[in-house]
Amino acid sequence: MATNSYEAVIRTAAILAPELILLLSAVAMMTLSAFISQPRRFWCRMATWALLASTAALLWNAGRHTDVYASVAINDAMSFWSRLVLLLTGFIVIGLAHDEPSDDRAGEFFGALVMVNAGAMLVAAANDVVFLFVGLELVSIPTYLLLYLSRRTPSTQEAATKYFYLSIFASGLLLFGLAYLYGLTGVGNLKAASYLIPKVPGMPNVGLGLVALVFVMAGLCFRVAAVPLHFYAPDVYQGSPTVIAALLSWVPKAVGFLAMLRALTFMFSTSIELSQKAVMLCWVIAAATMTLGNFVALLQENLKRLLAYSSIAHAGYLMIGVTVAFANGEQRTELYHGAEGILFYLVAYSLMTLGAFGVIIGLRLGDRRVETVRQLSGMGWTQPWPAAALAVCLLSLSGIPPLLGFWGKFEIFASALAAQDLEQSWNFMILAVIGVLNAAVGAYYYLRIVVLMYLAPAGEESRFGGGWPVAASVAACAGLTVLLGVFWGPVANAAREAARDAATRPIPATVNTTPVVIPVAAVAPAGAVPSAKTK
Amino acid sequence: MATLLVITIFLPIAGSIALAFVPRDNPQMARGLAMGVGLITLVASLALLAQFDPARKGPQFSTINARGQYGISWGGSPGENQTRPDIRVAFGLDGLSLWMFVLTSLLMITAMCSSWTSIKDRVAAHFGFLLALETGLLGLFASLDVILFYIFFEFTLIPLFFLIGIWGGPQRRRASVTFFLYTLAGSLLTLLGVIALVVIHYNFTPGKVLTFSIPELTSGLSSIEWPAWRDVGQWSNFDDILRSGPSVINWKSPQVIVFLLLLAGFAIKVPMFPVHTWLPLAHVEAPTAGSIVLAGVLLKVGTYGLLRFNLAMTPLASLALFPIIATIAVIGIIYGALAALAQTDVKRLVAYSSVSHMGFIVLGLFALNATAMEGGVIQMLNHGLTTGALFACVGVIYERYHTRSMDEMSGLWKVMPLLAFFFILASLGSAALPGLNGFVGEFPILIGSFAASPKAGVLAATGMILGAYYLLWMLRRVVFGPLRVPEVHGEDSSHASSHEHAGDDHHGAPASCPPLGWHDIAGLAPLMFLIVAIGVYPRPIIEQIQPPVNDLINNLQLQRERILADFHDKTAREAPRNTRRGGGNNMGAPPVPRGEPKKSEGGGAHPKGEAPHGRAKSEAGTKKGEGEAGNKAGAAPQPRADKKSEDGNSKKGGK
Repeated sequence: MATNSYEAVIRTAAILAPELILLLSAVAMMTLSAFISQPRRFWCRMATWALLASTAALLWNAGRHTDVYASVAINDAMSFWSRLVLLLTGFIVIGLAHDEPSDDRAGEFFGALVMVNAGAMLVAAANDVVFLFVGLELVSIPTYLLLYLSRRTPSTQEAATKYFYLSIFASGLLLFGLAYLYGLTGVGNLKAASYLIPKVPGMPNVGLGLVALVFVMAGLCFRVAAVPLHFYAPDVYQGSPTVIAALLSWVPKAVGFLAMLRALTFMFSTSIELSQKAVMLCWVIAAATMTLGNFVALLQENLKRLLAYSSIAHAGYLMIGVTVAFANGEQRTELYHGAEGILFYLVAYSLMTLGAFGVIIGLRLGDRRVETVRQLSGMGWTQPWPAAALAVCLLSLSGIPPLLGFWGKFEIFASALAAQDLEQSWNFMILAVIGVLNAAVGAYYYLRIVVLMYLAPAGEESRFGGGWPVAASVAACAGLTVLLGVFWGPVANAAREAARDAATRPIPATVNTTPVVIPVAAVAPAGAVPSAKTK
Repeated sequence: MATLLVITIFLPIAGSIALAFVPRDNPQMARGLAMGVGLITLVASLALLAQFDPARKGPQFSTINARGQYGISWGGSPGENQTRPDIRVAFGLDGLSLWMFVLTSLLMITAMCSSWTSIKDRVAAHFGFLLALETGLLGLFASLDVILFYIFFEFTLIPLFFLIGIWGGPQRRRASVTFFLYTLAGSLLTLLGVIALVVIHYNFTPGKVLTFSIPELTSGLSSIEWPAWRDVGQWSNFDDILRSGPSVINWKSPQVIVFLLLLAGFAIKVPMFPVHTWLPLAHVEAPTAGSIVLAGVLLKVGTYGLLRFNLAMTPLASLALFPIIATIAVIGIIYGALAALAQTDVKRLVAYSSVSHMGFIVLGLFALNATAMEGGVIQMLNHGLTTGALFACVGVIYERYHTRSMDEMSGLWKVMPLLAFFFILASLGSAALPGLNGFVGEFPILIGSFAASPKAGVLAATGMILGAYYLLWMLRRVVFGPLRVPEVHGEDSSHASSHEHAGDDHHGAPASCPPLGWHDIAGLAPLMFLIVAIGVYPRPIIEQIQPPVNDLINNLQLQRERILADFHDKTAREAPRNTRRGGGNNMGAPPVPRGEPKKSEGGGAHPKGEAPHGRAKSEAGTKKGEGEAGNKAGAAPQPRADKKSEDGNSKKGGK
């Protein structure tokens, strides 16, 4: 080791400072709430401060690096930018949730919310099998709490129970898969494992690898709501409070895809046999997920259900990116990398989906919340600003330029077409064609809402409730969707940098103890040999 | 000048944003502001037109960045040690886009004039959407970057969707949704095609150039050395292509597939025959302003895309698929004309006439010779003018009669002589009466398509006759005959559908029919002027569009030479040893004929009158060449003779 272990631990702790701050404040909030009685405004403010402190810590950490083969958490560009985005969306979620819980449960509620954020950030930074799993569970467990806490109606209970059992089941699958993933190389460090796979002859045992692939994928498919583990999403979204549905549609999805990138794509893309199998698997998942999501969404009347199916459909588009990322490892980073597309798309998706949920959270008909698509009728003229924000988010979801959603789709499809030479096979072209046809189908149900809002007569008296935090969150989402749609450069650069960093595996500091010297470069795919451009 | 171009493009949308702040109870201010912005845009685009130098090659008025490329980088500066996707904000105009640009800003004035009094509710929003649409269209025609083009291409959907959906007829919701989804589905496939072009260009150009620039892609893609890219079909000479159907096309060739992807979006926009079904609905339901812009400019977006992308970037596939495209175009021509004949609704009739006329344009563009392509490009402009004018006239009639049914009206001449005059002029222009603009466009198309495929030419001519028939028939019913004015429905029922009054004649009180307002005349008069002016003196426009058209045709010729050379190389290699030596050499060495068409192309403009003459001669030559080839297929010297006659063909075609 170039650095001694103590130093490595300190550095890792520094890198994890944002998560530690969040976790400590979450624990403090949950503990304190048992002893002091404060209005929810207090807890909400505390959660916001925690996020602010965490953001400061993250920015302080910018540029701090560790030896990727020695630490469980790394601060590469992917980790940094993903955590930043997760924190910023954390603010938006807190804004949306600010008057959701009752005063007596607010401490736990916001504590759990902060903890979810910490878990999500851990996944983004994780560089170790176990650590990754801890992060994923740190997202799941507070989510159960949130589902139970907010409201105790039968439908909420049902949603919570459903989510709980399925999530536990998925975690089991995931853990099983991760064990095999570890068994593949005997190394827990993800970077090290992906470095070793192409180096050691006969190393990727295809059988072991397949088990790992299928099970980890299954566990993560649940998180991102991809076929075949998507079926819980509509029921749970509909049954749970809208804020929680918004959270569920964003955080687990982001976490799932980040975990896929960290644990699967960059590792399996180094071995030809495994990456071919993985591409095949993901191709099917992607095509099935988007087709199912879009077509079933066509039939939905309930807004939350519609957005649930839409989130399934978007998981499908993102899966195209995963498929591509399996196909291109370190190669072709100069064009469009699948991981780049995923990261960009996630940013776009977070803004547009949270914005759409935010409008639904804010809009009231008398005392009731907006539930069905029809209730939005005529809102374009009675509630011009919320309707405009919703229209922007929906058009962005359907991928109309120059909104951010278009650039997300563009990057995904561009990476798909750049993934291989058209001469060899047309797999990715076919997948992209399925994708765009789906996007056209998807446009229908988004457009239907826009049509109702603007082209139909107004229905009941409506108002925008929820206070300024909701309005500010929605405005931030819609505004950024437009603004970043025009000035998408920073997002694209960040996504690109993140994908490149995550894909590169630096040459280890000391190589004499590992069997790297065995000349197996001919076995490995041409581009898998780490390039010397890092360090 | 680059600044002026950018300002011209973005001024309308700035006006559109300003309109959002106009108080709701002050429609006059909204109209005035919108018209002011529209007029400034028009003046600016006319200034650009005046500054345009037809002698210069390539796009003009564009900013040039430090590396000598068009436009400025969008999305951050390129990284140090990596080629990063370099999407650029690049605007510029060449001969193909210049007139579309001017047409857009001109027709937008007509559109605003036509909705001056006919739009009564949400006036500011209406004009705001019109201006937003104008920015979309101007930006689209001026884009020099594929992604920028695509963004404007898609962006035009949103304002038009609202225009149709909010201010349209009784079925407006269905019409707007159909229009939006139809176009979106196609254009997303086009996006894939565009990305595929970029990726292919990147993978197969020497030095791996990643570019999204239209001029760079056009030149780069025509010279890439990728066997699969060039292997679009199996044939031995150009006439084979015209004769043989889909069987000789290599459907798996990347070029063919990319061509089809690109075609998907543009064909829907044009619209070409099987995918035209959105058009009548959208046209009939759209408010007059929407119809004018839709028919006048938006349909041209499709043909413009075919020109810029399909013909320029996938030339071989364009060659290979010519018979199919020509068949579809001819079906469109005839079908549109027949469908127009069956209509009783004037607007619907004009809408179907668009299907027919757009078929002409597509046929002209794909006939792959300079005469027809020039005709097609001019016809894009002409069709915009005449159809825009026709829709504006129909709008005026509808505003007064509240019906568009031809069964209920006649004798327009007696009530509104000026409108009747405009209507007749526009119809005759559309029917390609010599001396008016339609003739200048459609006649070269016919000549050119005769040369490419006599069958298509004959059928297209039939369509032209039918076109004259339904337009004159429409004039007879609407303009002439005894005066009949339908019962005027109350002002409040502005969305009322055409009521069933077919039986009773309402012998009109002309009092119920107010005379043309100043805005109606102001909107129509410039179009009338251009309809006559282009018909009488088209030369300046032809001079401007000729260089880019010649470039396109040259590229097509060059590609054709190359694919023939490829084919002969292959046959020479595969041919048994006993083939005569000399023949083999000739087949393998085509550089002599290859240089020829280029030289002859430089000749510039020749009087139009010569064209048919030379055409007939070259056709005879082609026939002869074929006959010989047919007699002794496989004999060595034959391909050479073939090629000569083809070259003669192309030489004349270039004039």
